[in-house]
Order: sequence, then C-alpha cells, then structure tokens
Amino acid sequence: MERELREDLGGRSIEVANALRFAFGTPDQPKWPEVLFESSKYHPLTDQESLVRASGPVGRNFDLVEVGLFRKQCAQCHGISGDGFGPTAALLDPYPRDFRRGTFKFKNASYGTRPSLEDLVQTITYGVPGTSMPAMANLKRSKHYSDDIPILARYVRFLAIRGEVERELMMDTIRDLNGEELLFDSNQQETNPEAFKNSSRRINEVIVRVTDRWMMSDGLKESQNQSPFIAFVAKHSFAKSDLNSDSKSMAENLFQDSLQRGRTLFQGSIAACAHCHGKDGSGNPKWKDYDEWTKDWTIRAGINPMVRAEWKPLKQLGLLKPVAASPRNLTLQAYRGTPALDDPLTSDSSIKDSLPEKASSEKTSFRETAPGTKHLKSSSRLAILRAVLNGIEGSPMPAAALAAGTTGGLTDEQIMDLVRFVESLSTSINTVPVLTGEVVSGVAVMSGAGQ
Amino acid sequence: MSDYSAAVSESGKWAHLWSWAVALTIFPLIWVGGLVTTQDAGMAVPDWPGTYGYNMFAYPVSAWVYGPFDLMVEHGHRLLGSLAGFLVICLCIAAWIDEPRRWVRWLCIGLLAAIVAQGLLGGARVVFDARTLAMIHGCTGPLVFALAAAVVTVTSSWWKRDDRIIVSRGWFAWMTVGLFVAAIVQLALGAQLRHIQPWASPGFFTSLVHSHLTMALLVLVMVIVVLAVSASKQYRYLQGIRGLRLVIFGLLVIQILLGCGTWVANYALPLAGSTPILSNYTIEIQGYWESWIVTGHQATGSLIIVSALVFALRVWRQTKTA
Repeated sequence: MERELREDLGGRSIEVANALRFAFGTPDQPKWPEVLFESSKYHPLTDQESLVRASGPVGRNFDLVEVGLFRKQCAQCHGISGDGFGPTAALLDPYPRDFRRGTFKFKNASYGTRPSLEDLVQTITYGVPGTSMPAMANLKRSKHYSDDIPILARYVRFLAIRGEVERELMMDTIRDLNGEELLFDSNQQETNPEAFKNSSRRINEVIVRVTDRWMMSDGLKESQNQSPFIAFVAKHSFAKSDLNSDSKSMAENLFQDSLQRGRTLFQGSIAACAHCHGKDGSGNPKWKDYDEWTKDWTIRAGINPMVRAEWKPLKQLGLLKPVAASPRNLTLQAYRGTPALDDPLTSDSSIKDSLPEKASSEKTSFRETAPGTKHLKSSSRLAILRAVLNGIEGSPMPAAALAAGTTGGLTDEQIMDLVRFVESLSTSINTVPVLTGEVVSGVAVMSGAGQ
Repeated sequence: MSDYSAAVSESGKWAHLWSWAVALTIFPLIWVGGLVTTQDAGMAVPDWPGTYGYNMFAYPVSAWVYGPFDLMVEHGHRLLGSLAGFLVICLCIAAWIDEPRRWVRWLCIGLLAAIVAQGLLGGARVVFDARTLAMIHGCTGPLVFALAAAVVTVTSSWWKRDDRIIVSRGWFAWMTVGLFVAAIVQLALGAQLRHIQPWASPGFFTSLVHSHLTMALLVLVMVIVVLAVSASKQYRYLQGIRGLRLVIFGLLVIQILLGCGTWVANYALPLAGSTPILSNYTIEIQGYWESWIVTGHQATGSLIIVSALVFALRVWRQTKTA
C-alpha cells in the first residue's frame, strides 16, 4: 500500500519518510524529536529509556535488561510502526488498531481527546475480550517483567504521535503535490541551511501541534475532569453500584419505573440506541456502518465499502477488506475495554480519586480481577456508563448529548435509567418485557422520563 | 543363521540403549526449544557459546533458575542440547565398540554430526541475531530427532531378526515415505508461521496459514490411506506396525486439537459474538495453558515425523521390490 502511494505521489512521500526518520529515528533506534526537548513541559513524555526498551529486535542486553518488547508482544499484529498492518492483520476480526490516527476506543478521556497513559495501560493489561488483543496482566505480576506494560504503553504513545505527524505531513504533501518546495531534504543541512531551517520549522510545528494534543490528555486533571464519564463518576455513587444492588436498595416500584424509562429511552429516538443495537439489544442486523479507520480509505476516498467492485482493486494493492463494525450485542454481558475499579494491577487514579469510597481489593490473579468478574461487580456498569457518556471513539458509537448546555440532551437520571436498562438486558433481574413494537417518539420519551 | 547374522543379533545392545537415551533426551530438548520460540526467548542470552560471559556450564544455577523465565528457558535449552550431544558421543563409542554393522556405526557418526551442526546453527542464530536461522534451527531439530529414532529402530533386536515374511513393496511403501516427507513439510510451514518477521506482509502470512491448513488436510488423508492400507489383507501380517498405527492416529487427533487450540491461544475464539462465554474470552499472553498448547503443537508435530519415519522403516524392512 505504502509503495503504491509513494508512486502516486511521485516520490514526495519519500520526503515524509526522511523527515520522520530525521525527527523520530528508526524502528531499531527511535528517538523523540529534538524540538520536544526545548520545553520542560514535554519532559514527562520524552522518556528515552522506554524507547530503548520497547524498540529494536527482541532480546536481552548484557545487563539482563530486556529490549524489543514491542516486537515481542505487539508488532505481529499492529505492525512494526503501529500502522495496524502486521503480518497477522488480515486474519483478525476486528483488524488490529492502527495507532497513526491517534484514535483509541477505550479511554476515560472524553471524545475527541487522546487517551491517557493509564487508558493505554488498562487496555494492554486486560486486553479486549472477544478479540485478538491479549491481556498482559501476567507480565505485571512477575518481578522480571513488571514494568513492561507501562513501557509498551509509552511506546504506543510514541508510535501514535509519530503516526499522527506522518499523516499530517502526508496531507501537506498531497495538498502541495505539484509544489516545488521540498518538504524535507537532509542534504540541505549543508547545501542550503536556510531552506533546511525552514523545512525543519514546518515539521517541528506539526510535531508540537500533535504532541500538545497528547499532553492535554495525559495526567492533566483539568482535562480528565472534562470527561463526562469522570465527572459523572465523581458526582454519583451510582457508578459503584450494580443492577443487583439497585434492585435491593431501591423501592420496587421505583426500580421498575427506572427500567421502564430506560427501555423507553433505549428504543426511542432521543438516545436512539435501538437504531443500531436493535430493540432487544442483540444488534440490528439491517444496520451497517464502518469504523473511522476503514472510512479513511473508503468513504472519504470516494469508495463505497459495500460495493465489492469498488474496493477490490485496492485489496489487490494490499489493503484489507473493509469489514462493517457490528454493534455490540448487549444481551451477552460482554463489554470491551471495561474501566476497572480500584484495580490492583493498574492505577487509574482519575477514577479512583473520584469515587466517594474506595472498594477494597487485594486480588492479584488476572482471572479474578478481570473486568466483568464477580470481584468487580460494577465494572460492567462502568463500561456501559463510559460508552454512553464518552462514546467509543473511532466506532459509530457516539457520546450521548447531555442535558447541560445541549438541546434535548439526557439528564443524569436518564443516563442512570438507560444504563440500568442496558444492564438488565443480560441479567435475570430484567423484569421489563422488551417490546419489539414501534419505537416510541422522542417527545413521548422526554415527557415520560420527566415524570 | 550365518555367523555374521548371529554376531549382529547378539551385539549392539549397548548402542541400542544409548540410542534410546539420546532419543529420550532430544524430545524434551525439542519441547524446550519450542518453548524458546513461544516465549520469544531466542536472544534471552545475548552471547554464545558462553552465557553472559560465563562458561555455559559454570553459569550460576541461582541466576538461571531464579532469573527471568525467558533466560531460564534459553539457557536450559542450551544445557539440554549439550547433554544430548554428550549422549550421542557415548552412543558413537558404544557403536564403534559393540556394533558389527559398519553402516550403523556411520549412521551414529552421522547423528553426531547432525547434532553438532544443530548446535552450531542455534549458536549462529544468537551470534547473528537472525530469526531466519532460528526458523531453520526449528525445522532441522525434528530431523535430528528422526535420525535418532532411526538409530533406535535399526539397532533394535526386532530389526536384526531375519526370520520374518517379506512381502511385495509396491506403492504403499512409497506412500509411507511420502507421509514422512509431508509431515516434515507441514512442520516447516508451521515453523515459518512461528518465526514470521514483524515486517512480513499480511498477504504472505495469510498464504502461509492457508498452506499450513491445506497441508494438514493432505497429511490427514495420507495417514488415513496409509493406516487403512496397512490394515488390508496384503499388509496386515507386517510386524511392528499395529501399535504404531494407533500411535500415529492418536497423535494426529491430538495434533488437530492442539492446532485449533494454538489458533485460539494466539488469535482468539471463533464466533466471538455468539455467546457470553465466547464474547468474554480474553487471550492471556504467555499464559500457562497457552504456552503448553502452542509448544505442544510444535512438539507433537515432531513426534508425528518420528512415528512416520519409524513406520516407514518397519514397512521397508519387511518389503522388497517384486
């Protein structure tokens, strides 16, 4: 794919490759761009030791330090540069994530922002159920491998920043395809220092712009608190409970009313969940949409992914067959990317600090502490809550419009009703018959919910 | 019985015993070698023939046993390989003293050369940090195992007996050789999958997977044909293959199950969106069972190669061209 693209761009993409190599080094010897060392605010990000540990061929050096962690654990699927184009990619469903968009599905950070380091750690530690993304919690428990996961997360972030820079420079190159000004030529460093300085400045601007987007999401409380999910968890103890507890603690009629309102919202046109998930939550077989990674090279390039004749020629160039993103079957009690609650293996302080009261946990086994198990009863609720409030970026799952500052948005109580109803779809506590008749109108939903 | 036949029959027992010791050491050696690949531990010890500057045999036991798992596996593989080499030397000495058949003595020397070459190949993999050499090392390991099994077979008292009925060779005997070759090709395809370079294209990997699956089907058909024909009226009186038939069939069933398990351990369950259990299944990297299954698949492949070879040797021993 890259080779063909290069031919189409008349070799200008080689300039992008040279610029990337100059700024970020090679897969064997990566480095952070020098411009990021000019400001102290980037210091927490530019950890060179993680790059050394994660990059290059797999092995140990004479100090017994393990290197090549990314190739050992990740590159077979995600590719050596994190482009999601590793050897196994074509056989996996869903395809491995391409880091170069900077888009990650499972994060506490709000829609449109980059994931925090802890978000990445969480996904690497627990994997993604039902997919080929493995859990690496084993590494965390061994003293010899205990720091591997944070190192991998930092390297994923490095590759994502590098990839976003690559995309932006490529877009610049495409826009200026017939221009005479070179994007980057390392030879100019000696032959034409002024031109080299100009092109370096242009590239550095892109690097800083991309890196700033990542800095916004990484460990900065103010940006974390902008996340509707984090704000909701901090405000309500609802997140710490689950449907079973609610059914015992709430009055029977209030509990049933909540489920009923949740069902109305789910099937109505305001939340419009049933549009994709189907009225019974098992998925609407007629619904078909694609994730952002697929749309990049299909819909946005004028190719209809549903018409085989349109994408087939691109497949022959090495691109992967476009696969529709299926809506989650909510009756299976399987929620991907579940945020853990006071997890002994990860340390998402943004959640823990927000909780009114910390749950005690001394679990050390992956199977025991994995999201969805009995030890973390509220993890399913947290997953649903996060998906509803933050959306799942990159997928067609949107973030809910909230009442504050929006027209027709959902109130906190409606969010609770909706989450309770979704939980009830996969448990025996469901006492509300799932209707499969006509969808209730949006007006009716809102007036009903306000009662 | 001629004097020579009597001498052959009465001697070579020590060589046979040593050959068993060699074969029984090489199988765990192959298993641990497979674990090296499963754990991607090929470069866990960066130097060779030494270990972190130590003489291989002088590396502190505590650093080995209590060190990182990948180091333990790689160093253990080296030590086990050294033990196998030592046992082959003993086998050669025993054969040279006790074995009257010259070709068997040279076969033992050939086994020694093969195991030395295998060790050097493993060393070159480390010295040059070459994954391709690791893949070749993984393919030739089972061939060394097969050679050791051949020595066990030809030094056995069963082989030396000359009172058996000889039947017409025919295509069936060649089919047994074909099965042996097919099993080797299948293992080589599997080795390529396990040592795939991270920059290989998805198309190449996919074609390898399809080839591996096609070859599995071919091996399955060949096993069914060979076993069915061996049980036919013409060949049912052949000695020493009745039990082997069961062994090969059993290994094949186990291998197919392990192959499916290997896919699941590496790439997830099929139909993940169909039931709660499948949807919630998460692969555990370097998990206990995952490691056993994946490594077991590779080790069972080598057992199938060896069983096919022994089967072929026994058939050829009792057949001759019409």
